[in-house]
Amino acid sequence: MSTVPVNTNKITLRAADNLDFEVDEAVAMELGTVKTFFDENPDASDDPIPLPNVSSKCLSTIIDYCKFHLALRARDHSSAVENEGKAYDDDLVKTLDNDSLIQLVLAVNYLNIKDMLDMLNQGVADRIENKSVEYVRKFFGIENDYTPEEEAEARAQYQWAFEGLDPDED
Amino acid sequence: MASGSVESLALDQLPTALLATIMTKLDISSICSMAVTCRTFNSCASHILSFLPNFHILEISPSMGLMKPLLPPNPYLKSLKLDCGQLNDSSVELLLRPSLQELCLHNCSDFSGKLLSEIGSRCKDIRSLYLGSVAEKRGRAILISDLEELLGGCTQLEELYLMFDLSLFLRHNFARVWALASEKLTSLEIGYISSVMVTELLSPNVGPHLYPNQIQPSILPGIQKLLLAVDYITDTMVSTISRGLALLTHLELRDAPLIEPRVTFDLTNSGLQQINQHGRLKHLSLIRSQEFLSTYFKRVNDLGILLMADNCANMESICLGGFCRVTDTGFKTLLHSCSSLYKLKVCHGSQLTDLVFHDIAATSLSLTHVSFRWCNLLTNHAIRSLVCNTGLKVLDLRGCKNLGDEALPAISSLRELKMLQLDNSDITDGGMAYLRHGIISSLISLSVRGCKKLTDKCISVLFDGSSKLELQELDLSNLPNLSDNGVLALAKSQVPISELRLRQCPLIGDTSVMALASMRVDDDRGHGSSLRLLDLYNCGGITQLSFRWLKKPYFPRLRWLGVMGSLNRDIVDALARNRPYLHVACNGEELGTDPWNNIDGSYMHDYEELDELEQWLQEGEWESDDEEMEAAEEAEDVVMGS
Repeated sequence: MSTVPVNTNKITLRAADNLDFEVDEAVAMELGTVKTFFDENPDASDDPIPLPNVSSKCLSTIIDYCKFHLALRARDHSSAVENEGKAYDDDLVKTLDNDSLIQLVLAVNYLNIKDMLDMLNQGVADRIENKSVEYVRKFFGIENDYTPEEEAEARAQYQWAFEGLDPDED
Repeated sequence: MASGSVESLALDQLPTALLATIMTKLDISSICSMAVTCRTFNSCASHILSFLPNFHILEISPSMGLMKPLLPPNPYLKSLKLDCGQLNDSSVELLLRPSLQELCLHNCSDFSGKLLSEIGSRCKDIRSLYLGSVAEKRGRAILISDLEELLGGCTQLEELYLMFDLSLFLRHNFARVWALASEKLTSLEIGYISSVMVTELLSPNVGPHLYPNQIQPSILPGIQKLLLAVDYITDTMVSTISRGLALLTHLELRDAPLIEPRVTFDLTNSGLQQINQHGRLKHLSLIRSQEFLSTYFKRVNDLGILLMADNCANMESICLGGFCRVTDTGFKTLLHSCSSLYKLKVCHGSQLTDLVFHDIAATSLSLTHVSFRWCNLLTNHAIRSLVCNTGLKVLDLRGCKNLGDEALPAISSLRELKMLQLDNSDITDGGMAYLRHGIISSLISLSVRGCKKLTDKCISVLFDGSSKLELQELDLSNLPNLSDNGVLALAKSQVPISELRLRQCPLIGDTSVMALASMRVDDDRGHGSSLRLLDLYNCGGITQLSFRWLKKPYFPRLRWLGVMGSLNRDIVDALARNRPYLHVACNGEELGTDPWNNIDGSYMHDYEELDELEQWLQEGEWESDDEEMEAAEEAEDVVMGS
């Protein structure tokens, strides 16, 4: 860690819809993209940092997450603290509908926040685990780009995995 | 990077790397499922298979044809778990990879012992190895050299589970071979072995070429966990184990005598006294199974338990099955001596009464797993005392006939309770109301098998208006008053159960199957039903009509089905063809997603029969006839001599 004394520098982050968020430097450094920016431009001015790929809704959630987990880590590494962190994460994912979850994943991926990304990816995986082919298509907004022959072949090959989950199969 | 609206959701916005990361968190069947959605995911899936660290397929027995494309060369494969019911020695090349650290192969009956030697030569880095039912098919064999090569080759082995009969092929030179086992081996489980072989294995001074002051290297010095199923649990074996394994923390022994054990071939008070000589034991399980013969640890009484309790102050879990001569004194001593005890299981504790729990509140115990099976003298009073252990997670009271509605208010106060089994008790519909207001929202598994007073009403009492239930397993077998209306109520309640057992319910018929087939659980399933296991064995009203509702696309997740095979063989076969990955049981065997972790044999029988047998035994068996003993000894001589 740097030997510079802890400062309460504030950094401004600008979301895609031009809403500004002011955060402590420590919190801003949790965002990998922001950290890289400052590493490469140590004399950056105090202008707000533009994040064109992140909506204000997502940015707000992300900032809350980083603040919470920073504070948690500062306490200690006991299992009770770990459980608190896990509970926070579970609650966060629970409240998100599928679209919001994917939005958040995209935003966190862009901002390069490793732990949060891993946690959200697991949340997505949990939601599509053991779901039917139709459900997964709807979830990601996928177009079925198979030809009928190709699709039949794929279904035959993986038939065991999703036995008759789809109504149109018989 | 596309700027513009972040609202619209399109697949091309999700970078492939991110998709791949998400997919790696899925199990194999979900990955394969996703591969069918579109081309992008298909190539993602193929790509993932070449670096997936865990490959687990245990719900079906895949064929070689199915397996080949799923297991491309993959240097990152660390854990492989498979049901090998359709595989044999020719699959060895595909399955055994040098990168493997964890290997778990069930149902290997068509493999020969070559499987063991191949693992020894190909999977040198393996840490945990489970092999089930190897070479059980006629014509297959295991040679002692196979075991030798396994133990010698796998030098990093920490856990070894050989779930098959070792006494069948491997008697010769058995002890010598185990000297080759890795020093890191801490866990050993054997599917079946004779107690004589165990004693020979762990006894010092084995071998003819022993110089006077030569120190015999100890066999299996690092073992902490030992789980064995043997023919007879004997004093000799128990003391040999206790003496020989200095680091033992976890000992589980189960036997299933074929004939009444002689005094030299049985567990007595002196054997119990030998337990835990090195003071490290935390988990102990001694069970005499009634699989072949109704027989008990008749030579152990309270004295033996008292002597054992002296040595066992640090015990955390104790399971005793078949100790019919131990009374309240013995059991109470255990509760009061072992202050760290969290798990207590007693099976066939025929002399265990309420007095055991009389002052349980005075102990500082916080039990979490409690099982009292076939403890006929327990009454509601005992349960009321027992629930001072508010952290109880598992409560198994199967076969405690004298428990009734009065016990249920106490039970419903247990907020942490996940598993509750009240088989064959005296509860009624009214009693179930207590569960509804207490614990039904946190229970995961509930069994009321054989509670003959229950009617359809208990279903509505339990589930009407309940939301967000966690219940996954429900056993409503042997309920003569449960009819289709009850099952209709269950289906309407939309409880997301995955295992439903309705064995031997005379009033259950086709309507129930229809109701379950159309049960809507979440908005994913067009045709409802999250059931993975459905047991309809010997249900009175099931006709051929039901089979129409058992075919695809109904019951999309069903993997286990129990039916009466004599119904119509053709129809059952047609169903098996329509659903090639469905296990269909036609002969009344219990269904389970985990059949290799089997419960003791008594659960297999019809409950009616066992009750009467129990009674007869308890009335007439305490003093063994001299004549009977002689005859038994003679018979045993014949068996041992072969």
